[in-house]
Amino acid sequence: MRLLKDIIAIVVAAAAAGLAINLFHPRGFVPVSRQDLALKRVVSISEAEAKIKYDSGMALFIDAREKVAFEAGHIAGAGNIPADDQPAGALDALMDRPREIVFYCDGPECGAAAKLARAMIGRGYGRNLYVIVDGFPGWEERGYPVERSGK
Amino acid sequence: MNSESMVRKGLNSTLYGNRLTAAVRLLLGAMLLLSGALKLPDPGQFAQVIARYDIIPPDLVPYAAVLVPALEALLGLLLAVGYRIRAAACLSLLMMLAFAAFITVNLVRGRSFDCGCFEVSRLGIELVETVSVWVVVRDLVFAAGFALVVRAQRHLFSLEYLVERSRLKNLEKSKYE
Repeated sequence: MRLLKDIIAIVVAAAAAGLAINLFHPRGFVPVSRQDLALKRVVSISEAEAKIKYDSGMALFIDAREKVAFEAGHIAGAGNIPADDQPAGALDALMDRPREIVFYCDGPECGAAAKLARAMIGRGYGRNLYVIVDGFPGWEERGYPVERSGK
Repeated sequence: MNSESMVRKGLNSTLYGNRLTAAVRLLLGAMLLLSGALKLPDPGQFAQVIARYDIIPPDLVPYAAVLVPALEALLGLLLAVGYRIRAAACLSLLMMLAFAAFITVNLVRGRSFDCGCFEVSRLGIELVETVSVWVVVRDLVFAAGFALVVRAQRHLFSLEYLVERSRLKNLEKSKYE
């Protein structure tokens, strides 16, 4: 009986300690857990992996940056859906394309590509979503095909 | 016949609790404390580890990610210090069995991934342990160690033992005061 009491006391103490640490942790995450885990279904890939998808011709590339940045240079053949424009219609149009979608923006710090990918998950498109970690700069640096549409 | 009785004696003393069980307790306690402390700084990453196992419902994963490292660290601390030893060892035993079961389920599913047992990459050590039978066996060996500690009546080098000994020593004194 005392054993059981001790066990319960330990578990309660650990739970309290864990929650307290989580509360003051800069990346503590219990309240936003679901979004976080939904994000896990988006796969982060390198430029090299993206190039393989590019060469296979099966993937659709989507540029999540502003129109100006897109026109200044983008992955050849990519479409442009700026993440800040609340692009509901454009995303709906992607829904019935049964293939892989690769999002990218300006690198690891920009959240635009991940935001679009999450929006797709929110629409129930849970698979074959990719984000290029280093984004367009990484792609351009490696000398992969780039297209410019600005004047 | 003589050596046989010596073995028996050693076995009995281990069951009762001798330096061997104390060493097992201290080592396993230190290990739990270390692995818990390494997981504590990043609950998000540990949540990914738990999610990889795909056993706990996704909604509960973050709570497990918060609870398990704290529990590990606390159990390790209790075992190493030597306070509430039996309860801590019981819980650790259950935890090890649970880990072994989780890994076994994923082995049966035929999946292979980093087991996330010790997050030593934080210390700059590159160690990727894939889920395997070896990890299950190791967890079971740990579980056996905890069982030994649970079974023992006496725990040398522990707070409980010290307190009990000083109490017995001062028994007579306190009786007449």
